[in-house]
Amino acid sequence: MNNNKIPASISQQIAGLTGPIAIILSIILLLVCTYALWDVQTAQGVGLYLAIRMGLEHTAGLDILCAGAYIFILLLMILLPCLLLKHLSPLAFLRLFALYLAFIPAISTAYLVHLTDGPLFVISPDLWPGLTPVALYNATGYMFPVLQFAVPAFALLYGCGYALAENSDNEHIPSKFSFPRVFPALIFIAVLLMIATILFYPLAPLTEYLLWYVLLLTAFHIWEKLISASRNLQMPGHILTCLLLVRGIYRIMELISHYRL
Amino acid sequence: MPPLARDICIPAQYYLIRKGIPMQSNGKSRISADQLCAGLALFVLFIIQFVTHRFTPFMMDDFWYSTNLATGEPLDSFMDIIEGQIWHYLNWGGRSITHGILQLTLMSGEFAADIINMSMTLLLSYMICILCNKRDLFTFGCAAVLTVSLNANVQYSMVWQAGVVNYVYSTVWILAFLRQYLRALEQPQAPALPLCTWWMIPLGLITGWSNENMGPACFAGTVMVMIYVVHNLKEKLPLWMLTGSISSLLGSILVILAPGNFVRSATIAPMSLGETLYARLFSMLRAGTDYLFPSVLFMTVLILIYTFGMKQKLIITDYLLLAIAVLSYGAMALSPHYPDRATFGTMVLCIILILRLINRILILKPLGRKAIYAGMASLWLFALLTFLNLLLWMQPVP
Repeated sequence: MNNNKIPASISQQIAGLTGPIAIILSIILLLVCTYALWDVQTAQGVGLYLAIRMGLEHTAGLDILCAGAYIFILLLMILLPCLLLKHLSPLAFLRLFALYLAFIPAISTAYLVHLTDGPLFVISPDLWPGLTPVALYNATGYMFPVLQFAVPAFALLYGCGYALAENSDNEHIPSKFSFPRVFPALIFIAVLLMIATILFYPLAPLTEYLLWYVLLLTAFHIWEKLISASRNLQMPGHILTCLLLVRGIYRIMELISHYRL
Repeated sequence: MPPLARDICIPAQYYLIRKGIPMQSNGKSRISADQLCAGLALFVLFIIQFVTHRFTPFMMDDFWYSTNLATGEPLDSFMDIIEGQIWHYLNWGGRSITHGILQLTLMSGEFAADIINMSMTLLLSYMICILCNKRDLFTFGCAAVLTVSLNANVQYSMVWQAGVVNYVYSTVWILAFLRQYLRALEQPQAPALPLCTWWMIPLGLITGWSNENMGPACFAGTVMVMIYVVHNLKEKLPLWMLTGSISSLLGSILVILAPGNFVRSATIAPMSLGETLYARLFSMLRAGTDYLFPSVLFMTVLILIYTFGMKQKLIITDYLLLAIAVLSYGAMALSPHYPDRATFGTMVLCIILILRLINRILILKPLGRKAIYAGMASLWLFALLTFLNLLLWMQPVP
């Protein structure tokens, strides 16, 4: 019998536990999001509205159905990109979940239900006085936080990738790491969404959501590529995920404190 | 070369060499394109910032502080300020230094106050450069941009008169105070500045007396430095360190234990222990993950890139700045309110760390400049739009 079994180092043991920890954390986050979504949609009376429209007396069933639908959509928005972009691990799911909760703008559940109540083709009220620079600024100003977070974040990702490529023989990193071809596509999408916001003003919350969602997915994809290519970035990835998770939890607490009946 | 020209050119060349501006072979200075761009961008930013100051009248607490707080009469002389600040200390709060200076600026009128405010804002950016150990136009520009673009509330911390004095002015002398301790650690062989044992006393006093979180955090920082000097460097403790530390402790005691603080807190409705703990936790979470999030996020990412990605180590003064930032944040757990503008000092400490790391990363990876410029350009644009937004939507609160 061979008794020379070398015990795994502490870091290897921790590395082995990150998958199960990620699963547990993801489940806890989903439960907390469910609780928050329940508070929001019951406070906004979505189930009650649908019950009145359908002529039902009790709203409990519809409340549960609505909450279930919202949490299912949330799960889909995070799971689908992981599957399509081939980042198939609990850690990747948790990282995208953390990014999502930290940055994505909240959309009112009542807004989604009443979206088609009126016309969609409505020019932004900010432009009603006329097409002036001030009016254009007001009409598109909600997108400017992108300048505060998204562009510097992409700059840091680019710098990180460049530094890795320069020092690495890793075949996953090309010899000259660059993703400038992504930026024209992102700028194009941002301009399209801005135009959509101006022309279809009732869709403004959705266009803002879509812009942040596209940026998040792009950043997530690049981040996952960097992490999978360099072991040095595993621990920084965990630290950043924790930071984003704390912000996500704060945002959920703020929702709950605002809507709790 | 004619004697007069030689007398002018040689010192000028020496000055430019000291400032790190590269010289061409014919002796003329060469300002690089990035320095020129930084200068132009800064000029535009400062113009818009000054215009915002001009369009922001005195408002809210400014009106109250324009009076003798004890009698309610308009301020007429310096003695009115002294009398009012004694009343303020006993009945409202401990920030006598900053509010006394506020009253002086209010007495000088709006135009003079705006000029002083802009000057102090420029001085703050320069102080950040000094603590970053890099006094060039690019770092100065980055400091000016970051103090606006990472700020949780530009209007109430950098434009509103009471806010500018409480946060911008006080951060200038706080950084001047911290600079001495950082210098002692980074340049242990350098001689102490002349008479510093004496002028550290008033500087330490006003640092501790500035506000309730930065003052005690700076005092704790001085203690950490002194312990490091004695225990790790095994050197004799310079007297100026002791006088600075003791005076900052005295200032912190004065600002926290002011009778006015207790008079005000008695007016707040009491809460149960559970409610208090939840409220404090929530306000700390909001400050850390909302108000300070941009600064903390970029600082954390840069630290991770520098340490894990580039396998470099932080130096002792980096740890000191980080510790003071964490302490200044944590100290607010003892306060019932943590408004967004109160994160200004902590934000500036994060900015100093960010710029230190950026400068070191650029030395090791000069070609990373493109990424840094792209990020800074975006933040510069955001800073401009922030001031434009203030100009368009400002409704001075009466």
